[in-house]
Amino acid sequence: MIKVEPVSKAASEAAVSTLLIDTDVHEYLHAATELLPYLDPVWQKYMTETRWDKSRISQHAYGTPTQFHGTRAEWLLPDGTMGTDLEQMRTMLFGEEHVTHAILNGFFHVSAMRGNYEFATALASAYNDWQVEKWLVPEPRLFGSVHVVARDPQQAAREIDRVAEHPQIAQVFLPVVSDCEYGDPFYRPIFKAAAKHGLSIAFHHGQETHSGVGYPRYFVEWHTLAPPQGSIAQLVSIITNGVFDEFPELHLVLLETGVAWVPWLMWRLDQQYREYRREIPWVKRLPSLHMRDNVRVSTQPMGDLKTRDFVSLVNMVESDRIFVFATDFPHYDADSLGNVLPESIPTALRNKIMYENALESYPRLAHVKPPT
Amino acid sequence: MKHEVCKLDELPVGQMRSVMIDNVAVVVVHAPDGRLRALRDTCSHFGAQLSRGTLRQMVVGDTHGSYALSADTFVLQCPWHGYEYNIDNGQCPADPEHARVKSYQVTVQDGAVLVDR
Repeated sequence: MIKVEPVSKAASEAAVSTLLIDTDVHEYLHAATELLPYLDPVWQKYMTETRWDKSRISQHAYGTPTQFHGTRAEWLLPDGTMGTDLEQMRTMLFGEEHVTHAILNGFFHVSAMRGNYEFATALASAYNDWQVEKWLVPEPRLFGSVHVVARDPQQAAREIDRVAEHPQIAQVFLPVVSDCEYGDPFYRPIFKAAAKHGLSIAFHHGQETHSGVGYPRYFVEWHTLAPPQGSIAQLVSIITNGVFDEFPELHLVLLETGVAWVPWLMWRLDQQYREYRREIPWVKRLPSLHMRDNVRVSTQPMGDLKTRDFVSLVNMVESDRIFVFATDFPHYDADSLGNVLPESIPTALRNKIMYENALESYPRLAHVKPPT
Repeated sequence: MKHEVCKLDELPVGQMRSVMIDNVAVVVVHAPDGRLRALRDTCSHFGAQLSRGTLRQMVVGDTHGSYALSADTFVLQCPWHGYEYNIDNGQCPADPEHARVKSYQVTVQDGAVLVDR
């Protein structure tokens, strides 16, 4: 068991002038028509003639909590969008937020589309090419995701093979779609392809993610419950269906789920595994061991945890390797370094969360080195 | 020190019996393949009496969806929460590092079952 105790502000300030890897940044399209140049003519025609737009992917009924369209007032772009401008990202994220490298997760969840899977596949490919051209090529501090249509795993694997060639692609992005249980062998080609290319897998909720009761009446309910509950359900599925036993080097990063549930799940799932091991004999290790080795959880939203509470949490999970830093830029509820990891966090633990754990979890970032 | 716990013919194949040795509860198991084993008769979890549980071949499987009964590993399953203990070493296959009960050597001498404790 690791032992960490809060230290003084002065003792931990030395850690600030090093890497800060942000595992959850969202780039946005202005509109789906921005993908037209990247689509095959048959799908260009389809998108144009049907006036297809990204709102058709999935929408829940809730509004955003502020008048700034889901972003911070300072981050709202003049055209009323957020996350659509690389120059602004450079200024705000790499400048004001002191991020040194970031993983792009987008917000284009084609896996949530119901039907029209050939078009969804074309959209995923177009989005991936757009992401590379618009964001990754001009900005080497950014790393990207392969977006796939999870409901067609064989095609998804082919898309991973295609896009993984780009050296700035770091992960495969899977939205938490509530009627896709990603541990099911049906989806295994996606994980196999990711593992083959040394890519991590990221889970992130979207409007398609249900809470334990589906879509509750109010946003406050949904936003409290759906992100952690959806991702926890997927994580349990991944572990119990043997994904980590089959791909022991694979890393899974859970984004925007909060942090305090992690020890509870370890305890609960370990207990259940001791009782029901015979039901899943292909799982060869305690779930908590898989979690410590293969699962990373982003810090955002850290919530109101005090330093001492967070240090206690790290002790409860018996690992300083689980948590990775994230802002969730450019969303309204983004975290900043100073709020998430106050100076009173011990330097060694702070460095783990700021960048060491991310470097370990994303093989494609292996060349990123802290300043000497 | 070896303790006679019963006669061999009092413990048929596939059966087990609980005995007290120096005030310690021990379960003596006569597995279906004929091997004799003994474990502490107290589950490491909540302390249930393992001798009230079930002796079975361990379920194994190396790939998703595959189930088989082990040819050579038997487990004693706790009657309360289902923890399994390998009768050869007392380890819970799910968590051998933390969940285990003490195991004892068993021999047969002149028709008597002896437990070394």
